[in-house]
Amino acid sequence: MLRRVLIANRGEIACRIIRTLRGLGLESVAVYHHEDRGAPHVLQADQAVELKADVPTAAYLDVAQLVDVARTAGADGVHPGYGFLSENAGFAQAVADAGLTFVGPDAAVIRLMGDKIRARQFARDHGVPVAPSLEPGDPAAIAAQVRAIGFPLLVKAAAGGGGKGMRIVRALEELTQSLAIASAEAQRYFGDGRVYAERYIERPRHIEVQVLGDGQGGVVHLFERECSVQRRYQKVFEESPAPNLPEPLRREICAAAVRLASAARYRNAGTVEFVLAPDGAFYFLEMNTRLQVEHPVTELVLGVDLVAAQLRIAAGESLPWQQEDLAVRGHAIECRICAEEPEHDFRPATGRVGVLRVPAEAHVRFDGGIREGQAIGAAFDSMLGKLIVHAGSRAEAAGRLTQALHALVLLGVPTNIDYLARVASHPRFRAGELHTGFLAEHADELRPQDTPRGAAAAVIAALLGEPDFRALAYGVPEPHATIGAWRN
Amino acid sequence: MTARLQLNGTDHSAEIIARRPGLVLRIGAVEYAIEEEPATGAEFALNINGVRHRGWRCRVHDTLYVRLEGRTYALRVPSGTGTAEGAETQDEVRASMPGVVVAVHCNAGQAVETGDRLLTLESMKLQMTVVASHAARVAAIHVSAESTFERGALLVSFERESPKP
Repeated sequence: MLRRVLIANRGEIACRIIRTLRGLGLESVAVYHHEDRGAPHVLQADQAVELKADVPTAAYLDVAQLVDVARTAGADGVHPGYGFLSENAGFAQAVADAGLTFVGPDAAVIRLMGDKIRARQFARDHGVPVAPSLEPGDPAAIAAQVRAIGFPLLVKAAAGGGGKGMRIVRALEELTQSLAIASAEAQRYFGDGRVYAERYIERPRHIEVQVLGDGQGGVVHLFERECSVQRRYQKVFEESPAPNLPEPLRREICAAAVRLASAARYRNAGTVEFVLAPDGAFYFLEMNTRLQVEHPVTELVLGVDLVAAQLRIAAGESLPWQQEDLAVRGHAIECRICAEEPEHDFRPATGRVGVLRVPAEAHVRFDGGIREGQAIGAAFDSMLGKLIVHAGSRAEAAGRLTQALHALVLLGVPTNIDYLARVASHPRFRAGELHTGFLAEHADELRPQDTPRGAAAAVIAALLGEPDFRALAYGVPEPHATIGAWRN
Repeated sequence: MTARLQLNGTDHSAEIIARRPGLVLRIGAVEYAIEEEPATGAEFALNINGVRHRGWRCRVHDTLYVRLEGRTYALRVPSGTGTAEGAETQDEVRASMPGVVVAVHCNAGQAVETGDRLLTLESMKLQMTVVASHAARVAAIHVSAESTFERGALLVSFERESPKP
């Protein structure tokens, strides 16, 4: 087993990893940029090392410095978390070259899955369905392919992911130009101008399968997650199991994910993402070769610790479970708590965590990386934490999630908490009628309803928290206490 | 005496109608009788027209955050209008209406904390206390007890903070 693990990340996922390291009796090394000094992950780790960088995010992307710090701190393993360098083949290679254990797959597998064009070819070659697609070429060839596939099409970048650089095309006249624009954009963003277009599925669901591989071809799946409730191609709600998914289809999707991971001799926890069409057809989207933000819903329904499994496998142990050991119990839903303003197109917000109260019930889990007094700046991602609930059924879980969101107090920065509560109590959400356009389709019903009484109570409570207003309201000498207010 | 706050771009004015026997505020056209329970830190409980409300609140910069009944309200303090009657900048307190000084509670050179009483004024038959909106050192008091002042008159000035090196 590993002894001391450097976490090349920050925020809630760094805290999440530290928790498991501690449970396993392993030491943790946190890294941080000056902007994050005093952040929970820095305080919780056994050791914390400051990274030098002018731009805060650059600190967590500095391969050479991270490897250097890992060596100097005496770490024997590096956990990348998600985001940042977690899917950077160069980082995985640099960690391995330094003689340290990278908690993730080999660089070659990261490279394969990071190239969306190669990954979907790999999937197709191994019997995993991919959406019909075409690549840029001469106009006559494109026109012929389009006739076979049909519109609309979705143009994507080979090096993309997470929705970056995607565009929908509905007519042949637009296609050539869209491919050219997307290619130029992809070149700018990713340094790789290769693009492709695939059939765009209307009202799609996003279904993904958690897998765990030992690197020898042994792979188990940990069932599926539904992540269809999204804004700007970013997941907001994730749950397991997927609601209203016929059992044979669930088995088929999970089997396809295992086939892919097994063919890649995948090592580590990973996620195979699919698009599910309303007619039940499903297509490979991409594979994420890392721990996923939404991994807690899988942990809750299966009663497992995915970070512990990652660490054991990285250390060379065999898979902790056989497929038949894994059975789903109940239902779990997660939502992402972000510093943002849903009423203003989800624009990121800044402030300071003035009050933080997390519901303490046993069925509620809060994975956070913030503490009271902490400044929330614009330097990093707007996600502050995740609220996850577990219950016997989906209906019960949705009810518990709504209650937990009502009970969660996070003041001092605008957040999406109340918006999430409105989503969680929306009748169509409760019915499990989900697709990736859910939030846009129901935008009107999801707006806040202000009542004059509620606003007045808020005004009163706010004013009474202000020392100068209290002085006005209560600080008047007795003889004058009953003098009435002035009138305009 | 009114205090103004903005909620989602809408102005809400709260007017103090009565202080004794209990605090009464008017917001819009509605009067609210308020009884407070002792607050503990950010958590508070108060009765508004007989209905009990429990919640949390905090201020960050110019925004007052209130959590009530599973809703968060972000109320902005409009710039240039404190909840005290003086039109204040960081360096001085000016009168927003004509009146008479009832009492002076501070001295030149004195260091004051946020909420410390500076003056008691009477304007349009209402007495009110001017409190410090921020920690500062009093440079000068430009009025004395019984003196009258006009709208916009300089009442108290603070020492300028020396720029940090």
